[in-house]
Amino acid sequence: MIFQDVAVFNSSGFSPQVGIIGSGPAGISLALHLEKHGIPSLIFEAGGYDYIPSVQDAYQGKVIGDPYFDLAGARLRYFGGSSGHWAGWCRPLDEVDFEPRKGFKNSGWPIRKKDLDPYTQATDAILELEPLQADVPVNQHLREVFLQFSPPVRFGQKYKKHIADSNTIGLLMFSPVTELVPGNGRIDHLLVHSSDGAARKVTLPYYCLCTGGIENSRLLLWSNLQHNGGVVPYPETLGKYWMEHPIFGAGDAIIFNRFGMSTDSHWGMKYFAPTPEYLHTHNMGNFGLRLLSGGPLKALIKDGLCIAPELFGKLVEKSGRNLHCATTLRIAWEQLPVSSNRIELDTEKDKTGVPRTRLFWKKQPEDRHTVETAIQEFGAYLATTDLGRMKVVEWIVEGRDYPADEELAGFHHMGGTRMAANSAEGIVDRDCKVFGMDNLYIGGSSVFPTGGHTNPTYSIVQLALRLGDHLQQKISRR
Amino acid sequence: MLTRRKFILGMLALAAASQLPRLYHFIIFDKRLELRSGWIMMKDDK
Repeated sequence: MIFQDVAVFNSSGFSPQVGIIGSGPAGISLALHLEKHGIPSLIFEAGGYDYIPSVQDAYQGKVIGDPYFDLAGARLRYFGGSSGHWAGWCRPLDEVDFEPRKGFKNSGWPIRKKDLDPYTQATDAILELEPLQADVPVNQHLREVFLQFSPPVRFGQKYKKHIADSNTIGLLMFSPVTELVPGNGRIDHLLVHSSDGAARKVTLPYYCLCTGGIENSRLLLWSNLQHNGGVVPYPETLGKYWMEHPIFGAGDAIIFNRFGMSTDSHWGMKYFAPTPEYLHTHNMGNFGLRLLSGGPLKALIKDGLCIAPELFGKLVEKSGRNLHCATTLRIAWEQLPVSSNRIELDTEKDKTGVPRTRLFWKKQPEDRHTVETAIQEFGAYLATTDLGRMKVVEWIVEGRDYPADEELAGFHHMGGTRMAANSAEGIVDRDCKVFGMDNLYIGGSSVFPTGGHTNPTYSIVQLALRLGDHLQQKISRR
Repeated sequence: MLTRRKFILGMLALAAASQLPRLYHFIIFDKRLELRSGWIMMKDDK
């Protein structure tokens, strides 16, 4: 069912159990799973079916700290959310990502990988993925890992007809939620900004906030401010421990025997990550090192001839016989979660009256340790096995700051409402329920306490499906 | 009071601080390896 505004919904007779704020991968996956359990839900979408600049304007915000993207373009505010512009790269978090790691502060989830594994098949189906290929051990420190590639699924396009025809999923269009209003340890109702500028009230038994890795914090910070801490009773970490996956070029390498590098594999890419044992002993974040075929072979050989004429001279002799190749290396890594990387409310408000975002984001010395250790480990692997040699990018060799004209990050917004074992360390519990609130839940990567190295959408969908099961059990007990 | 001597020392300190990143180097820990013009090489690579 699709409702064009709150008034139409209120007069429809439809009685959803769960209000889902946001129609991205988390929100739609949750609604679909609740539908399987026969639980009616209502999705609140702030925008329409396509990009509208005046709607998107709500995502304007300021970034303080390291160079980062324009926030207005980092997420999409229309049906299907940011699945409207994602690339489709997927991989579940590793077991080690959930474990507390000595030497990597604030790590450890209150759940483990086994808690999300039951949702693998359903997640693969939603994202239209082939099953994940098993990791291949490289040595004690490294393993080759694989990604899954979604077409990519555009949730808005894929599920519009299904939701329109559904009797258990309602979709409320052009209905930005501007406030969560508490009462007696619960959320009593939501305020929705309607097209005439009025705030319309919607009351439901349960609420799930699925608006994204910045918006979840923004709406909670604002609602909490409006209601003297009544929405998030334990707000110590609210908006804090925000994370990204920084991504930078790490260097180039000559691979002497191609070792499986092929331009006909997916984007000619190989992907390496550390072993769990390595992560536990090196006080660092997880990382993914991508080898992309098509590096500057001739330039590298010419450069190499100056520093090791004998070694690189042999390559010149073999040139033209397809015995070696050049690769470009890129690294994405797990940021140390720190409270200073955070979302705050700006003094300026958007058109619906909600304060805009101020994002404080700065890479830490520990992040530099992660990237340098990773690069060194891979360079050592190539050299000691005589598979090739790696040339590290100058800014790392010379100890300069991160370049500003780079990929910078993965558009992966994580943290802000982190999951924790107790209310002093996070905002939601292991079931994604806000501590101290009986009927308020959070979906999406804002609950990630740590980010691993991989694209978050897969884990977002797994968590949403798990949340659906939890709500089904809770509702059936009432 | 800002003397000429203090001013010169201050300027020298500022100049040195701006060069600090240059003093830092990417350190290779594996004793079999070394960094040569940015390349991670075996020490006996010729």
